[in-house]
Parts: sequence; C-alpha cells; structure tokens
Amino acid sequence: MSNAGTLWLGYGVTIVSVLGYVLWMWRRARALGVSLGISDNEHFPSSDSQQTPSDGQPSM
Amino acid sequence: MIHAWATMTATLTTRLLAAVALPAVAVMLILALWVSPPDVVQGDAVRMLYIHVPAIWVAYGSFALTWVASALLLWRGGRRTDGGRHYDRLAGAAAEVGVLFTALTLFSGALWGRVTWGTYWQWDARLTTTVMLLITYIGYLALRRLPASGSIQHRRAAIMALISFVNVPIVHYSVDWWRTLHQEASLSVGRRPEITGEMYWTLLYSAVTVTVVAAWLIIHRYRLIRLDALADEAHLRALLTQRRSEEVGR
Repeated sequence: MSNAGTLWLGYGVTIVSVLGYVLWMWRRARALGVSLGISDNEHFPSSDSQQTPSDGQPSM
Repeated sequence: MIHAWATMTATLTTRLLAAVALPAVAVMLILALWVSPPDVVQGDAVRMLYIHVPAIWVAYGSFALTWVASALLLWRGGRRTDGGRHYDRLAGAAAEVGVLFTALTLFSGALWGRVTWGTYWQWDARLTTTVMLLITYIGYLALRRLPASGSIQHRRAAIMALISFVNVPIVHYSVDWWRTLHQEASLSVGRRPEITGEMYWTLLYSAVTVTVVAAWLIIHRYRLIRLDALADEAHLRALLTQRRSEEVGR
C-alpha cells in the first residue's frame, strides 16, 4: 500500500471509529428517551431545563 | 422514557468542548496532513505519528482516570451517600474510551509498521504489551457487566482496574527496558525530544485536540451510564409496584 493509501486508511478508520462510538451513544441515549444534545434539531428540551436527581452524585 | 430531568447528556461543558473540538480537529488534519513536513527517512508515512501517539497518550490518560476513580471508590466510596457509584461510572466511562483509543493505536501502528518495517505485526515488547493492555481492559469492561450486588460489583471492578493499570508504565517503558523493533518514545519526561520544529508542535497540538475529543466522549458516556442505571432502577421499581398491586387485587 502507498503512503497516501496508508494515511487515508489510518486517519479514515480513526475518524469513523470515533464517530461510530458517538453514533452508538446517540442510539443508546435515544433508547433511554434522552438525547446527546449535540444538535438543537433533536426535538428535546434545552439543557437549561435539566434538574439534577437527588441520588447524591455530582453532575459532570 | 425515564425521568423528566433527563432530557439530554449534554452540559454546558460538553457543548463548549464540542465547539472547541470540531474546528480543532479540522486544524489538526490540515497541520498533520499538509503543513507538517515529510520525514527525511520515512517520508509522508511519518504523518501517522499525529494520530498514533496522541491516541496512546489519551488511552494512558483514560486508564489513569479509571485508576484514580477506582482508588477513590475503594477509599471513600463507603462514606458517600451513593456508595461510590459516581466513581464507578467515571471509571467505566474512562476505561471504555481508553479501550477505543488503544485499539486505534494498534490499528494505526500496524499500518505505519507495514510502511516503515515491512510488516503489520511483530511480537516485540511494545506491540505485545500494548495488545495485552487492550485485552486486560476489555476484560475489565466485561467484568463490570457480570451481575452481582451493587457494592460487590463496584469494588471488584475497582480492584481489577487498579491491577490493570500496572501494564501502562510497562507499555510506555518497554522500548527502554527491552530491545524492540519499535522506536523510542517520541516525547518522554526528562529526555530531549526525538522530534523538533513543526513536527514537535503538530504532535503537541494533536495531543491536546485528541484529549479534548476524549474528554467530550468520557463526559457523555459517564452521563449515559448513569441514566442507564437510573432507568434500570425505575424499571425495577415499576415492576415491584405492579407486583404489589396484583397481590392486593387478589
């Protein structure tokens, strides 16, 4: 494989893998009835309306 | 659908991180693929450096975070009102991201090795210890999923995380401790950098950018694990309530 092909494959797989992980989290969030809040087009209320549950955990 | 408070996993922090990360990644790609000069020996293949090295640094950092969170769970978890679940979820989220970046390190390293060494894989010390690191943390993630009562599940995962981290310094110093095909560390504390100039600054910039991306992933994953657990608890409570109402109705 040429240098260019190697770089395309290396950078391409890295970017696709990270995006794939984000997509997996996005789908998992949808299954829970929430969103990742990446886009305002996701039809969920804004993060300003969030309330913290009282399970004694700090929010990240 | 779970509680009304849980509408999204984003916070102001993650939105700021995303706002920084997206243009930063674009600049990183421009610097890594076009601006940074080719190496006199490796030519353009050296550009793999800018994802390979930051990926393993971020993996080290993620595993270090897992170690710290696990140590805090064992040390202070019992004194917290949540029994240390916060630390457990942080450890799990960081380990998952660490596994992702370790796998990407191995993949990009194999491609780089094919161009520079003529082979995708060699069972030398650096490569072998890195694949062991990956397997160990996949094992840690599998252990987290094994059912047990809450505190036992958290504590045994924390102990596994403390043990697993032993491999991180072994991976990093393997190129010094054994004769390996792999080159010495590009940057190491207390040693003159192996690279200079535009390559040096591009590598540092890439490391910061990949760290921002990893931080974004860890925070979202942490909050998702938390929501997952709360949904499970809500589901269990609903089942118990239904069961009780059925018994009252008889």
